[in-house]
Amino acid sequence: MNRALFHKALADLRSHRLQTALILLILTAATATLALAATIQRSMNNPWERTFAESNGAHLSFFSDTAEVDLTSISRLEGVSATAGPFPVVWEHSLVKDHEKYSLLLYGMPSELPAVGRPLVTEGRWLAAEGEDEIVLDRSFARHLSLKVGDRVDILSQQGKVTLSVVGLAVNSGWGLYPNFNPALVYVLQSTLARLETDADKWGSALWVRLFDPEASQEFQERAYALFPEGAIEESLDWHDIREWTNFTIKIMVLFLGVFSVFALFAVGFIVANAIGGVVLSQYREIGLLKAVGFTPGQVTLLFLIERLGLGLVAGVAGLLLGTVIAPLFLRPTAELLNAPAMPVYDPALYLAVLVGVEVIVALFTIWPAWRGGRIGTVQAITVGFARVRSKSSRLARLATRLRLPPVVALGVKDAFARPLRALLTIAGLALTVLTVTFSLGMETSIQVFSRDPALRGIPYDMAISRGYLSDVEARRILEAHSEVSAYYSITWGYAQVEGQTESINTRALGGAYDQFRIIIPEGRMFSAPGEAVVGMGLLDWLDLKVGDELRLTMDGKPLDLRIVGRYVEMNNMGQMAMYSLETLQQVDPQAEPDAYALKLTPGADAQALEAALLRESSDQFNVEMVDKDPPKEIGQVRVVIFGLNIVLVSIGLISLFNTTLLGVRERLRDFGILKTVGLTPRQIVVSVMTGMSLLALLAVLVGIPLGLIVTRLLFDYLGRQMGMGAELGMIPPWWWLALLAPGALLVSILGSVIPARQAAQVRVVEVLRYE
Amino acid sequence: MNPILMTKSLSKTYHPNGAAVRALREVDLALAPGEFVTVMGPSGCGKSTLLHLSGGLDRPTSGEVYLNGARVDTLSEAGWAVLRRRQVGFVFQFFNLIGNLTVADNVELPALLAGASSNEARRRRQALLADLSITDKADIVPSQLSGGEQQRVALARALINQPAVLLADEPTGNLDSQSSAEVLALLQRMNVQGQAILLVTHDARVASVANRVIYMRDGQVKDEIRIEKGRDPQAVLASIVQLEV
Repeated sequence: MNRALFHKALADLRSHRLQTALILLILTAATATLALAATIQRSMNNPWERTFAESNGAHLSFFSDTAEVDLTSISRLEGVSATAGPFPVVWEHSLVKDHEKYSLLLYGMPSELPAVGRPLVTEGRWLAAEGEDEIVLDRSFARHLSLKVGDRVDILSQQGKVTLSVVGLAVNSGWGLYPNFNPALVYVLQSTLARLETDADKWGSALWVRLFDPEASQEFQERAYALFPEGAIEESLDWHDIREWTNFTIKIMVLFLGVFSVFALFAVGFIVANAIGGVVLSQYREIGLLKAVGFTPGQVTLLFLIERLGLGLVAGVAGLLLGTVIAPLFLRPTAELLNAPAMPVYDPALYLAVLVGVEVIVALFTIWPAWRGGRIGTVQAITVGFARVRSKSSRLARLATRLRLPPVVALGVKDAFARPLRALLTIAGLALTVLTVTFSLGMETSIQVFSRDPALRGIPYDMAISRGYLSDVEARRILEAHSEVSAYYSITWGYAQVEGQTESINTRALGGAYDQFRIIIPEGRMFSAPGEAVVGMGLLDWLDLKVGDELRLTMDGKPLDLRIVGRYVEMNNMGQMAMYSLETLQQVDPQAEPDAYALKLTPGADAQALEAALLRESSDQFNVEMVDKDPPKEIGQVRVVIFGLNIVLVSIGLISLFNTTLLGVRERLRDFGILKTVGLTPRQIVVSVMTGMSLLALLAVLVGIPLGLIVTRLLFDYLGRQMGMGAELGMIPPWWWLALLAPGALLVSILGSVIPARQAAQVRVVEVLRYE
Repeated sequence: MNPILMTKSLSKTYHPNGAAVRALREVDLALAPGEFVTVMGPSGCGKSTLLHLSGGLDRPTSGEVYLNGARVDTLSEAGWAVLRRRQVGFVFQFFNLIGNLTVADNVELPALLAGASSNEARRRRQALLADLSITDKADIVPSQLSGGEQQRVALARALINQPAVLLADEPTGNLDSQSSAEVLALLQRMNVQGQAILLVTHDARVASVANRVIYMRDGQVKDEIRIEKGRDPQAVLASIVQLEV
C-alpha cells in the first residue's frame, strides 16, 4: 500500500505540473530567505572569531588616560592567561586628509609584535625598529579613507603637522571597525609617539588581557576596577561588545531577513492550502475511486501530505543550497575589513532546523484540506463526480447585488467569493505581500526623512567645528566674524564614570545659544538649570533609569550629581550619553573650555565657501564637519536586502493570485460555457474574472497596509532600542505612497489572473456543455 | 413569410483524434416565425450540432446561417454573444443553471446583460416565474430545486429577453415523465403565444408536440412531416415512429 501511495503521489504531482512547479519555486525562494537569515546569523561571527583566534585576541583592553596609573597590576590577577602592554596611547591627535581631520587612537608600539592581541598585518609590514617616520593604519580605517601602503599622511599635533609614511595595514580584533568605532586605530613606534606628543602628561596607557575563561570577562573587569581608585581606569573594552559592533549592520539584515522569511513562508502556506483544496475538488471523483479500490480516509489524507511534504523537502534542500551560496555575499564586506574568509558555517543542526521549520509550515497548511479530502463520501464522489458549490450566496455577493453593480462586475465579485475559505486564504497571502511593501515604504520614508532632517537624528546644527589647538577666544573670534553664522553653541566633551559601573560614558556640555537650535526631546524637557541633564535612550535602558531620576557621575575623581529632566535623540555610543550645560560641568571643572562649536547658518549660505574660509583663517586648525544629508552608506546594503524581500513576496502574491484564479476557472469551466450561451462575450468573461481577483487584491491592500505600519513600528522601535537612539525611527509613509499600493495591487491581480481569465474566455461552449 | 432562422448548406466536420467526422452535411433548414420544429434522430445524427451552429455556440465548417434575414455565421464570438442576448434563448438537457446564483439572479442575468435596468429585469423575471408557477423559488439556489423546477428556471432565463428563437436541446431528457409533460405543455403554450422554437430530441413523444418534425441521420435531413392542428396524437406519433424505420 505504501508503494501505491508513493506512486499515486508522484503521478498527481506530474499531472499538475505548472502548479507543482510554481509552488516549488516560491517555496524554494521562501526557504532560501529563511536559510539565508539562519546561515548569516550562525556565520556572522565567524570572520571576527577567526581573526580573534589568529591574533590570539585580547578578551579585555583597559585604558587609563594617564601614564601614572600602572595597569600592570591587572596582569597579576587570577584568571589572566597572558597580557600585552601596557602601551602608551594618545587620544587627541588627528589625521588630516583633504582638510578633513580624523580622530586617532595612537598606540606607541614596539617593533616586535605582542603575543596577545597581535595586530595582523595584512598589507605591507609592521613598524621597523628604526622606523621613526613610519605608521601602521587599521585596515578598516585605511579602506574608509582609501589610503594605501606607501602613502604619506599628516598627523596633526600641537606642534603642527608631522608627516609619516604608511608602511602597513593591520587588523586588530580588540578594536571595532571604522567608522562604527571611532577614533581610528593607528600604530607608531614609542619614539615616534614621543615626537608627536611631547607632553608626557597627555599620554595614557592601554593593557591587553587574555583570560582563561572568556565568559568571565564581566566579572574580571569588576575585579580589575577594584584595584584602582575610582576613575583611574578610564575605560575597558569587552570582546563581546566588539564582536557585537563588528556585525551590527549584518544583524539588522538578519532581523529583516528572518522576520520576512517567516511571512513569506506563511504566504506560501496559504497558497499550498489553496492548491490542495483545489486538487481535492478537482479530483473529487478520483478520490472516490481511490476509496472504492481500498484507500482508507487516513491514506487519502496521507497521500496529500506525502505529496506536499515531498515538495517541501525538495524546495527546502534547494532553498538551503541557495541560501548557503548567497550568505557569503552578506558576510564579505565585514570579512574583507577583517581580512578573513567569508565562509558560512556548515552546521547540520541548522540545516535540519530550517528543513523541519519549512515542513512544519507546509504540514500545517496541508493537514486540513487533506483531511477533508479523506472524508469525501465514496458514493457521492463517484456518482456526482464533482463537489457541490456552496449553496448559499455569500453576504458579499448579496451586497454586490444590492449595490446594483454592472452584471459582469457583480458576477466577478460573486465568483471571487464562491469559495469563501479560498478567498480568505488568497487575501491573507496577498496581505503579507502588501505588508512587506508597506514596510519597505516605511523604511524608505524613514531613511529619507532622517537624512533630510538631521535634527531628528539628534543633529540640530548645520556645521560642527572643532577648534584644534586654537584657543576658545581665537576660535570664537573667527566664527563671529562670519555673518553666515547666524547662531552657534559650544560643546565641551567629557568622559565620566557612572557610579557602580565599569564602563564610562561620554558627555557633552553645551554653552551659548543652544536654545536657538532644534534639539529634539521626545520625553521630558530640555535642561534649564545647573545640575539638570538630558540623556540618551541607551543610558536609560542600560542603567534602568527613567526621566526624573538622579544620576551620579564621576569626572576626574569629582562627583557630579545630575537630575535627568529629559531624553534626547543620540546617535552615538549606543545612546549611552548625557548632555548638560557648561555651567553644570564647571561645578566640577571650573576651567572647562569648549572643544567644538555647532553652527547654524543663515538660509542660503554657501557652506563650502564658509568651510574653506574657516580653514584658512584658522590655519587649518579647525576641523569642519558638514552635516551629512545623504543616507549612510551601510543603508545601501539594507536597501538591497529589503528590495530582494519585496521581489520574493510580490512573486508569491502573483503566484497566489494566479493559483486562485486558475483553480476557480478550472472548476467553473461549465459556468463560463453557460454564461456564454446567455450572451457574455469573451472579453466580458475576462473582465468578470479579473474584477473578482482585483477585489481580493484590494481587500488585501486594506488589510495589509495597517499590518505593515504596525510591523514597521515594531521593528524600528526594536532597532531604535538596540541602537539606544530613542528616536521614532519607523515613519509612516506619505499617504500617496500608500495610495499607490492600490493600483499596484490591481496590476499584480491583473498580471496574476490574465492567463486563467483568458482560459475561461476561450472555453468552447459545445465542449463544456456536452458532457456532464 | 421570411424565415426567422435559416441555414444554407450547413456543414460541420470534427477532427477528433485526427480522423474527420462529418457531423453535419449541407443541411438546409428554415424556421418560420411562430413555428415549432423538432429535430429527431438517433444519437450522433448531428441534431445537436445543428442546434449549436444555429445559436452560434460552435462554428460551421461551411454553409450559412441567417437570423431574422441577416447572415450571422460570419460574426465573431463576441458578436454572437451580443446577438444571443436578444435573439436566441437556449435550454439544455442538464438545465445548466449557474450554481452560485439564485434563481432570480440566473433569470435576470440575460436581461441585465442586454441592458435592461434592474427594475425592468426584476419585473420581467417576476412575470415569467409567475407564469411558470415558480415565484416562491426566486431566492434559492438551483441545487435546491427539483429537475422539473430547474428546467422551468432555465426556460425563464431563455425567454426573459423575448428572443426571436428558442433553441432547446433535449429539454426533457433528464426529467421524469410528469415533469416532462409539464415542460412540454409550457413550450406549447409559449409557441401558441408566438414563440418560435427549434427543439432537438430522440424521443418521438416529445417530437410530436411540434408543427413540423425533421428527421436526421448521418448528418443529413432524411425526411420531414408537418403536423396539422387537431390531428389525433396517436396517429401523429405513429407517423413519427414511421420516420425512424
